[in-house]
Amino acid sequence: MHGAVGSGDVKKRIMKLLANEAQPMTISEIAKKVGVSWATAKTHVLELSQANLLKVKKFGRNWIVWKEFEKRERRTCSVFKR
Amino acid sequence: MVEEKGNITDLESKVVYADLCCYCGACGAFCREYITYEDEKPTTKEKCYEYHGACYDFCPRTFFAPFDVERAVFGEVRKDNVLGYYKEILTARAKDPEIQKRAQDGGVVTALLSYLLESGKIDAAAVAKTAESDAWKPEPFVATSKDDVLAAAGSKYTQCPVLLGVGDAILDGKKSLALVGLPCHVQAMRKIQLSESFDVGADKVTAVIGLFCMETFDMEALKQKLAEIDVKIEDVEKFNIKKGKFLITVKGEEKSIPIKDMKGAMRPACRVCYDFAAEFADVSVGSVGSELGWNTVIVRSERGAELVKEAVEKGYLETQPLSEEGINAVKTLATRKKKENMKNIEAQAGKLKLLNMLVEPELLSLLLLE
Repeated sequence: MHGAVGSGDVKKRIMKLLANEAQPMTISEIAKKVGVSWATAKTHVLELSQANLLKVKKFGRNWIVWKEFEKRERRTCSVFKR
Repeated sequence: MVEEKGNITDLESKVVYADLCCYCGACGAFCREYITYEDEKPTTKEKCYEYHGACYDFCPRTFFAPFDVERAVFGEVRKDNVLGYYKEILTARAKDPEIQKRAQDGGVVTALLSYLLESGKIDAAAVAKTAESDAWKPEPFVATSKDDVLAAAGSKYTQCPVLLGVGDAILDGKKSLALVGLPCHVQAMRKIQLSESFDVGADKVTAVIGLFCMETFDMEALKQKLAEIDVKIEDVEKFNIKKGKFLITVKGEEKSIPIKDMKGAMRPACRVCYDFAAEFADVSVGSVGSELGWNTVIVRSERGAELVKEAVEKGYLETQPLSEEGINAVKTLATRKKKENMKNIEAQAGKLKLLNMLVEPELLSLLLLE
């Protein structure tokens, strides 16, 4: 069943999942939510991490994964302050 | 100018949710990050954490100091408490037959803008223009040519956030601008120009042309009123207000509704407006008091006087002094608006605070000495 999902598709789904999550996730959580095996999820996460699209850190036996929020400069009215 | 401080949350609680928002566009003109407009009101999708926001500072309904504005714009305060500060009152009309044909009355506003653009004194004018996609819905528009000005000619009777056009033009790098607006737009423009806290480049607005205004209508309520006389707004060719009647021209035929019956369609925020004759403009223009095909023009500031003088000299305008009878007609309408709306202002304002004394406005004369 997992084989039916293209690898590009899995990566997109992982990115989308993490973009909507407020907190870091483990590989197990990602695998479950994306619908792939733990090993597949880990492979894609590490590839995404190498492309600097995700942040990964190993804590003991767990891999913690998160996506950094895009830092966009807010142009508020303060730019017009005298 | 006296300044209170507030942010978007204060603006929402004190103005928007209190039905005082006049939908002038001042709050969102220089805040493209947080403020958008829905149902003719400003709204925010995300929280802005500015403690002191330009939105609150620029809104004409948060605070407004009429005499501070008059001292800054005219150099002195008014002697006439009905029409505000002015130098002279004229009746005028455009000389260009093309403008006369397209204009609501005398075409003075269109002629003044044409003169300013064609002489290079301004490179843009923020005006209201009827949307092409939505019948009679006015939209802010930045006019840069006489054709643009002609396309936007004619009165609109629903509200338009014209100040967004001012924001667009300034942020787009325009160097010198005119604004055509209702009294609320003019008040907002003066607040933006005189703000002690924010500098958005509003000194580029060198001509402020105000329009006489009794009220504007809520678009949905207006459509409903028209439906009562079997008129669809998309079929309307022209609206006008004359002699106590709201006139609607449909397929060459003129229908009318007594203006007193239109009060139900009035925007709630207009009920607390104390300005009929755009008292803080450089030049105010309307039709009451003048003959058909002419405008009443109140020249207020030095800039306004210079503008009218030059437009006459260059052949854009012809003017005559307005008769005493004409001036009285303007005063009558302005007095009516002020008296009716003062009741609403007092009802909404509660007690006045004079340092430590809290006084009911209607009893103020019992307390103060002559």
